[in-house]
Amino acid sequence: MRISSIAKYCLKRFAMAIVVLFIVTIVVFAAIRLAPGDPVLSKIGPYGDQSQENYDRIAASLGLDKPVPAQYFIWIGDCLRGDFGVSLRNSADVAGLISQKITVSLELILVALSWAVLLSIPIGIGAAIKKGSVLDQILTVLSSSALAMPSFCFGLVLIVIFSVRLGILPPNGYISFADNPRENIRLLLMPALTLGLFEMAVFTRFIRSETIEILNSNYIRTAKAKGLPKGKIYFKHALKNTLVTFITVVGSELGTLLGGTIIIEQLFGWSGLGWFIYQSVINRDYPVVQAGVLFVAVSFVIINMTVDIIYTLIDPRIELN
Amino acid sequence: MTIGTTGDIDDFNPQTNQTLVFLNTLTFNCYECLMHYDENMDFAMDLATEYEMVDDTTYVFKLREGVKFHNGEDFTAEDVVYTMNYIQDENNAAWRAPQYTALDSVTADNEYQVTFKLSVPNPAFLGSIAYTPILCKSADPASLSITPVGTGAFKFVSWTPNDNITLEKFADYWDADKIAVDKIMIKPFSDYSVAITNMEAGTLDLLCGISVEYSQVIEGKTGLKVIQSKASNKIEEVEIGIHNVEAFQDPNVLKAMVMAFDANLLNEQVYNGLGKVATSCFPSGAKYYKDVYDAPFDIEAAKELLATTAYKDGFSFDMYILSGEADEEKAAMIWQANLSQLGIQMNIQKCEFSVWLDAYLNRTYGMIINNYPMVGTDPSTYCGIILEQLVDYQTSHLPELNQLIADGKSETDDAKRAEIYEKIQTIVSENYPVFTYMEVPQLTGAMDRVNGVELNNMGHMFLKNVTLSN
Repeated sequence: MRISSIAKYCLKRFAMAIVVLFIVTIVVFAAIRLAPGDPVLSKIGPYGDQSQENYDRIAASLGLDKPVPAQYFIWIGDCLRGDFGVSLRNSADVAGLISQKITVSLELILVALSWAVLLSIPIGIGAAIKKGSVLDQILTVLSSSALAMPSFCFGLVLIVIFSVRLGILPPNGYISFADNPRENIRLLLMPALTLGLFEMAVFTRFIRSETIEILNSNYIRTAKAKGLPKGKIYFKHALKNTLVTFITVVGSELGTLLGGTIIIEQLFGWSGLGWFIYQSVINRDYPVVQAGVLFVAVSFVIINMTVDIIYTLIDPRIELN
Repeated sequence: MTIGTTGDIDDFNPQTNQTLVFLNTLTFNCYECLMHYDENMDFAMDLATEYEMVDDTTYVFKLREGVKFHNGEDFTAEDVVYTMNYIQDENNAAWRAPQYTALDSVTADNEYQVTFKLSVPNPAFLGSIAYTPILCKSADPASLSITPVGTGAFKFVSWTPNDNITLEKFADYWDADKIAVDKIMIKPFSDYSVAITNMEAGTLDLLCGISVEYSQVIEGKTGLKVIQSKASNKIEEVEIGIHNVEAFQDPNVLKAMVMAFDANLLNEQVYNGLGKVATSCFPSGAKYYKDVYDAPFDIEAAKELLATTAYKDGFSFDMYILSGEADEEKAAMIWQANLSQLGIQMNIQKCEFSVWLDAYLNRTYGMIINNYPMVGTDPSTYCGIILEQLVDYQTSHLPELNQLIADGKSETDDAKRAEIYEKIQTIVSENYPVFTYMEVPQLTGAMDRVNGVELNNMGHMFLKNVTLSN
């Protein structure tokens, strides 16, 4: 019964996702074209042949001579066949370029998210249990500082300490785990720490306030009155209820993490998708931007759907409709 | 050796990519020209061993034998013919094409000799040859943008977008014994300060195209140094959109504005005295350069001059500058402050490159700041690219100037050319279709261990003689 309702729910969400993605394709296609700047002029450059004939020739070679609606339908048709086109800058296959970058960003996001989640849970609960204590106040100040500090600054501080002064971590670069696991981890440490810091602060504050609220609820008071061990009360009853909403927060913060990669990837030379899409926007490389944003949109839809399903599995009171 | 750049290179075709980051780092190390401008701006022979100017329109080049391309093919005269045909084929949209409009034919006399025939004399022809990389006729032209095949000291290995470009020593290079570096990695950085931190950490050997501001930061660090070219062909200039702002059609308004530009203060405060205040539209390294500016900084005189025009109550206009060019931004801000004393409001529009380029090529600006490293020493290249091609509409009201530019291109008598270019400089200084305000130094940051970098006045970096000490 439960499985069939999940299947129904997935089908419903899938239909909705198609509508969302259709809207995303229109928005991204229109937005990049409405932005000032012209990829044809970028090709000509400041010192190239600026005649109208040359402009028309380059526009035709890039497929930009057709009306915009026609360009859109050609692009959509190609996407449905799995062809995301070629870069306007160098004719490289867009799907190849994007797929090369996805794993790079994914590794950074997952590690950053993991350490933020794993640390924020005990710290948040600890601060809630010791509410008002010196420990709680110190943790509150630290998490507020982490929220206030721009990640760029924090990253630079890490580079100065660990790369310039101590010389124990490389300041910049990316090597895949498959090529060199040790160097991959060494290169990953600082960007993951920087990217995850803000999220850890967000999560810690959320868990603290959520746990305080739960600890004041009637059923916890009842559990205490019944003489249940503290560990059981905190980690079985309180934590489980905190996690229900925490999962939603983590899911929604994935978007922030993806946005954060643009800065962090540039700072640490971690050549992932965020920096690549940003660079493509600057270059007005339409096919790359379109495919990149579409990929991000698809990821979001999948993440949200997964979060909703996990949500109901943790708390059976929530219905999938 | 690792080289830092600010911005990735995403097009490796030397005939379509005209970005400074590509020209200054990869172009002349992966590719070679028949000859190049060395540190003293003399011609140094590369793929040619000698040349002869047979008459005003005929040049014969003897080519180096035993040279191989990175794909193993032998270099011959046919590759030179192919390259010139490629540039002249309008379907390839080669950016050097406007410089070869006078090239009538190029023929391979034999395997190692090539003859260029021009339709009209062109004294700047050799200068163009000295920065035109030679393509391999057997390389796939469709993949030139992602797989460069040259004869240079360093062979392209791989490109990972936004991560690195890897080059390795070309074992079959005709002068391979001199190459001391086995591998070069070019890494893009989003920010100079991040790149400098990497130099401090010892993971970055060279940092290209730094501004004076960052050169000062580098000089203050132990173990780092700044490499500077002997002189600089790079000028900072303001181009005037006379058809977009009515006041700019009055030369006296422009002269008053120029008199409110404190170039000495700018050089002192922003360029730390390393710049050279311009006194002509040409850089001082140009042949026939003449000190012609006659509008020294004087706010009071500027106010008086403006008062004689119809714009004595002031006006406003947009000034476009490229985002990330800190020195240009400061120049605009200093000028903005002085112009406000004249009642002229300058609205600074800081734009990313594609927006800046849009304004520049569509000429939608009131004023726009551009920097341009003049090719070679013959001013006809500057006139062709800046005055004639780009600012054609600014100079359309100056028919004498346009005629002089055309005459200068093909005149071969040196005395007559000197006269022509003196007149051009004078007309520009009186009418200001453009206003060159500073010659800026070509600077590269380096770790102390890096030696032998050849940096010419145009900012091109040649790395085949580089050594790394311990």
